[in-house]
Amino acid sequence: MGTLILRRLAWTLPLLFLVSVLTFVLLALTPGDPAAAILGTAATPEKLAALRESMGLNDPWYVQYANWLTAALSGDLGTSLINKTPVIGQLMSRLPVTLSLVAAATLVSAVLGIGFGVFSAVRGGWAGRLADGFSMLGFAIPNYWLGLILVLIFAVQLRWLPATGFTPLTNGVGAWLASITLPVVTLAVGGVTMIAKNTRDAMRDAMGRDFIDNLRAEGWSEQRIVFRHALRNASIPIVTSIGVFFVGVLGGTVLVENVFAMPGLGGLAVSATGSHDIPVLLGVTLFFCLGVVIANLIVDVVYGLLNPKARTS
Amino acid sequence: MSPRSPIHRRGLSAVVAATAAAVVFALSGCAGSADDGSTDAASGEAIIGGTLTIGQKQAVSTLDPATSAPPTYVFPAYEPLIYQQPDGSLIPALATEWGYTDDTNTTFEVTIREGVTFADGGTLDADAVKASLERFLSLEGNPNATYAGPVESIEATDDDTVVIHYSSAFPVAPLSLSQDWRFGLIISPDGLANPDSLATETHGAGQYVLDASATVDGSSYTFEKNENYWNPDAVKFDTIQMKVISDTAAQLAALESGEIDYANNAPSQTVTTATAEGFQSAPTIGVLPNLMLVNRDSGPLSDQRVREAISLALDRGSLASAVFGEGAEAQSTIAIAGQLGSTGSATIEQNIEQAKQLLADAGYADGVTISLLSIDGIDPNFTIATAVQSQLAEAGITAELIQATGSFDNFIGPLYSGDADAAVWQWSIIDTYYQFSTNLVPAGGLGNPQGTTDDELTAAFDAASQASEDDLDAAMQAVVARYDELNWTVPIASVPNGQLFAKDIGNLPADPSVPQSMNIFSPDPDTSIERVG
Repeated sequence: MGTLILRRLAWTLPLLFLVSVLTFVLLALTPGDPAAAILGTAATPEKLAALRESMGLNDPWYVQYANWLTAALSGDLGTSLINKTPVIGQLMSRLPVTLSLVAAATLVSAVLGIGFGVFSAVRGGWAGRLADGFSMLGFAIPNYWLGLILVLIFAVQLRWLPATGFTPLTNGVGAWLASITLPVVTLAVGGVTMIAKNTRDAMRDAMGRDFIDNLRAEGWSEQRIVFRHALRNASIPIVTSIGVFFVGVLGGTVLVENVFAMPGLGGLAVSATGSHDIPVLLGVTLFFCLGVVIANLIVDVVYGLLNPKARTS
Repeated sequence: MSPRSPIHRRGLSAVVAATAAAVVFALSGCAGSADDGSTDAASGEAIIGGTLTIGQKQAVSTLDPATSAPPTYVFPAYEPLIYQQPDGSLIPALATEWGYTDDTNTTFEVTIREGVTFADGGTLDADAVKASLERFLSLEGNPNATYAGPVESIEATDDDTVVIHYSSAFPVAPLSLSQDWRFGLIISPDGLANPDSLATETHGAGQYVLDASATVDGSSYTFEKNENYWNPDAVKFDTIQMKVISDTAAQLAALESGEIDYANNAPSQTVTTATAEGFQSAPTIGVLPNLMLVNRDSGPLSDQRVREAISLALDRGSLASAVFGEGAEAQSTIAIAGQLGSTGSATIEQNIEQAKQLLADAGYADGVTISLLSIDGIDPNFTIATAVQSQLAEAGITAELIQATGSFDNFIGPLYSGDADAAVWQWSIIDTYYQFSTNLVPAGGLGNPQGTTDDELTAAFDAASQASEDDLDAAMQAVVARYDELNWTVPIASVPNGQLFAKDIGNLPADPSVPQSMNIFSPDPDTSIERVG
């Protein structure tokens, strides 16, 4: 297991380097001008040129990247081109918001998805068909639309939950939960249906194995057979789908944080994109990349715990 | 698990049916508010205190008042020397008196209010004001430095008097020291001594001070009442909270759910929906979309008749409503109603026949071709350029579009090199004199990239620069009239900046003619908004 973890970690730095290069090149090729974003209608050729010079934007892209990389290797991700504040500070202040959403959405999706999946696999028939139907619906519903509908019903009409904003956990558990409920539901719907579908398929496969009949013949209760034996055997694809969902929901925070005006990394990515604030965009990209690496590492570790053969493969 | 039973199936069906009924019931409430949609102004007795929550469409770049964009985030904490009211008039704020001491509009004296303490405890005096003004001018990369005018030097002649010397005539000094021009937003000595702190803290003498502990950068900014404010009777709320809500639908939802009292920069569609639901609208002036006819020294646009033909070819009314939405009005003069130098001239109606005649008189009876530059950052999806192109075609004017994307260089380059004959642009409406002095008249300004000159315009502008405060409006009317006659710029519409208010907010400005003032922080309590009940 230790070897597995070390091997995965050894790939992390090269991966982050590759991602940073690709991101920088793509941003350099993408239209946008932070100097114009700052000067606005006061822009003239002379002012634009002077500001770009002072911001180091006239250097070739590989020089700009080398400067950034040198600083990044010592933990300095630079400062925002727009507001001059340290990028790392902005990222760390917004990380708890995105983490709250992502962790809560993953937990809700996993619990409900596995629950529905097991239920539909065991009950079969109409329950299975219902699970398939909801899966299609979950995949088809756009996050943005769903978020707006939830706001319309629960915030505007019923006034049960806030329409916008994020309350930190330190301000009270109740207020924190209220502020993340609608965004988490928006993010989790697709995950619940996907995990439920995968769980149902994996459980049906597991429940159809010979060892299940043997266990029944030995007199074990159906509940024990389902949850201690079949589910454990079905867990590999379930863990995979949870890992895939986690990675997907990281990207989903970009949209959801804007709909709900939440100060997370996704919202930061959007505002930095609008102003072509390259250091901030690089920082957000690296954070997301790190999140994906950690998620995959956790999935691999869980694999190893569930299936000892996977530890050495 | 027990086999499914008929009783179980019926029970489950009941649950499904009940759930569906609940959803239908909830959604039926979404059909619309019970409000009759009337937008009568809120009235009643003022309720002093509480929190005013503002939904801002755009996040702030920095809280430094010299460079903050948008500046609305710094208005709670930074009082200007002179405050511009919603009707355009100027009232004392941190300055009590002001005026030119010469006939050439180059020496301007300001008397500083005595007994004012900054929120951080510093004392307001002439030296503090001088230091703040000089910092604004010397700040490297300050995109707003031109708002100060041609300042040559600043003196503190005694404890309460500041004199500003200009290198050339500058008749709008009072306006330049008001809140929207930034120059007059005074920073305390402590703030100036710690310039790095200005990005995230406030060091002003305004009605409020930033509560950093309750502020989440990029999301929510909370301001508490400044206990040192010199006129506590003018402070209507205990707390001002500014929330960044960049999504249009989210901004409307926040207003509808009562989370915000004031939606700033609301787009036209949001204004339409919200006013139908009974929320109050009080727009401020926003932008002036126009065509800059820049290649005036050679080619077809060097002939004034061709430029006039372009103006006559436009159906401004349909452009205003179709392209810019509710509230936009056709505009054919560079100075909108209520602005300095506004001539009150009637909007030019489309006249294709007259446009064709003018072209024929200029030797283009068979039509003329011009290049029309547009950039997606100003003209999303090139909607304006495309609409203008089709209208010009009716008069025999072929506009070949140059569609610039991304970097502003792709717009500036063709504009200044002469590769573009005309360009789609949107001026932020701040002040007519400023516009002329910075962009429209000087060679190299954004509105005059080729440096075209006109003796009559230059003479009128010089006369306006020398005009007294009482004569300035009339003098600027002569400038505006000549500029409109030249058709160097063809205005299309004036597009308001949508401002929506909750139903219990009163004292809204009736006919605002200032661009960005939020009408919340006026030192005159009779004119700032308040909650009523």
